[in-house]
Amino acid sequence: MSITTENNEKMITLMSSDGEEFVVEEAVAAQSQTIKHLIEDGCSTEGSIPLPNVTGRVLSEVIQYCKKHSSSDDKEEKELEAWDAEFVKAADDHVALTDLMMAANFLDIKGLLDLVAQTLANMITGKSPEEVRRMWNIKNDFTPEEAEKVRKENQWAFE
Amino acid sequence: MCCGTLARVAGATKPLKVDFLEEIKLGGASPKASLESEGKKTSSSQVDCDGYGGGDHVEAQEKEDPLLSIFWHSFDNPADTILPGMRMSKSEAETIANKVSDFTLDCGDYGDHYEDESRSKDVGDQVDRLSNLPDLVLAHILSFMPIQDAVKTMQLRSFGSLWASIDNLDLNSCLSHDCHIRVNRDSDDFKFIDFVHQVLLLHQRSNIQRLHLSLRGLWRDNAIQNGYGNNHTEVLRRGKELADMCVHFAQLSLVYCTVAAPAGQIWMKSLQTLYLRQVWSDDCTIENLVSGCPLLEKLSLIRCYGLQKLNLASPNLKYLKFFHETDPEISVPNIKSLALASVSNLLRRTARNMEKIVFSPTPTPEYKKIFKSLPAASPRAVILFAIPE
Repeated sequence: MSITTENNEKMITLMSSDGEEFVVEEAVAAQSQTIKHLIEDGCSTEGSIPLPNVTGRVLSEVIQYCKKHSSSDDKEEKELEAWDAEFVKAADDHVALTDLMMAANFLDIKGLLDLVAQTLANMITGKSPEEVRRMWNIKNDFTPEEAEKVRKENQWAFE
Repeated sequence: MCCGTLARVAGATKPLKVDFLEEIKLGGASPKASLESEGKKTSSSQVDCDGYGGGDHVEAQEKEDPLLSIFWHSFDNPADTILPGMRMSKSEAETIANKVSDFTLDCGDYGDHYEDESRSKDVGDQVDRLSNLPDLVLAHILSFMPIQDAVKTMQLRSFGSLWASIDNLDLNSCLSHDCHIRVNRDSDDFKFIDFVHQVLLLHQRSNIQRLHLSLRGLWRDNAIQNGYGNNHTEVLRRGKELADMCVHFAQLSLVYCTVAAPAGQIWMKSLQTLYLRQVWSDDCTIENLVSGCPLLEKLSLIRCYGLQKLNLASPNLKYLKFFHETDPEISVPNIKSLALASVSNLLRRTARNMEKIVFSPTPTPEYKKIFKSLPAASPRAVILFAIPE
């Protein structure tokens, strides 16, 4: 559904996988390349744009990010960086971050994808495989024998 | 789901109506605990399952096998499966509740979780979210890690050899040694060289966006005299191999290394910027390198050794940055902009055609003489400033 506000901003409605609706300015939503293409293809003219891979909780966070990044210009880079840091800190648990990562990937929002990837990379960097497994609850991974084999065959990587 | 499906998990001592919930969390730190709290029985007797027709099905069987820890599984819509530890929003819970006509849960020890609005980590941790990410996304995460850490993820099954497809290679020797320690560092340095070899050998190479190779600190004066230089040369003895990797690069920087003549013609069709600093090479190799980069616009030669008479006739080469104590004979016919450390023969020959000249640091007053002798129109801009390197 496209409505126009008094500022002449075109509004579009996004619908999450769990049926929650979000009305946002087109410029905000178009930061997602996926949504941008859907709008270009005329999907926003009839009702809301369904996003079957993104839940309402995650979508509201994504929109929060897009709003911030569409309203700031280059001059505020420092402030934006600080805002980004706070944003991922607020989402600082594994579930929220991986959900955000999946959403950013599906919606194709490069800035958000890179921001979350960097955060997740920082969480893995410097950790032993055991620590990573524990942290992420990775089960059915290599047995100690298999792990030893990998290490032996790739000694160059572990020296 | 329209059919009457009854799902009772762990009895109904504290039945909960789904429509009052903000959020349902199944599982928790130990999902089995709640199932077994009714007297250490196996779940088959605790789960009253009456699924006909659509085949909705509640399973909460004994641990060990992860497939058996599925709580609820919709046969009509397999994606609706509830796993232990999964969090549901109110609307999700309602959707499920609509599908299961009689849905009661024993919150047991987990009653307080239902009121707890904040996310609880131990609940979320029950599902391995990391391994569930697609390979492309995992590789993207790896590209933000130092390469030394990224390769180590091969010890995790879900990462496997994904490191070999990352598009951003940062091979920096300073990450493998302590730059402040000057003695007994050779073994670390050799390990790093071996590491670089292996990475270049095993990487898929097709999609590299950025490569940064820095062997800073690996080359000391006495090391060259003692013959260590040969080992460093080896890093780029695979010059052709490296160049093949670089076919799609727009930028390449090589710091503190030897660039030796590769076996064949180097061809980097996309390269626009080449930055060489403290590189040991010779005229022929550099000429070969530059002539193999038809789009090359910017070339930086900072303290490059072994150069005497260089002819850089690349058609698009417009910008040259050259800093060195010696003054080799360089000819750059198409150059428009120069950055120099001193008044050199290069400047005397080319100043006439320049659009811009940048000095860094400020040169001796000799430059004034040169500019006085030039026609008024050129160069169009001369910038004098002092910055290190």
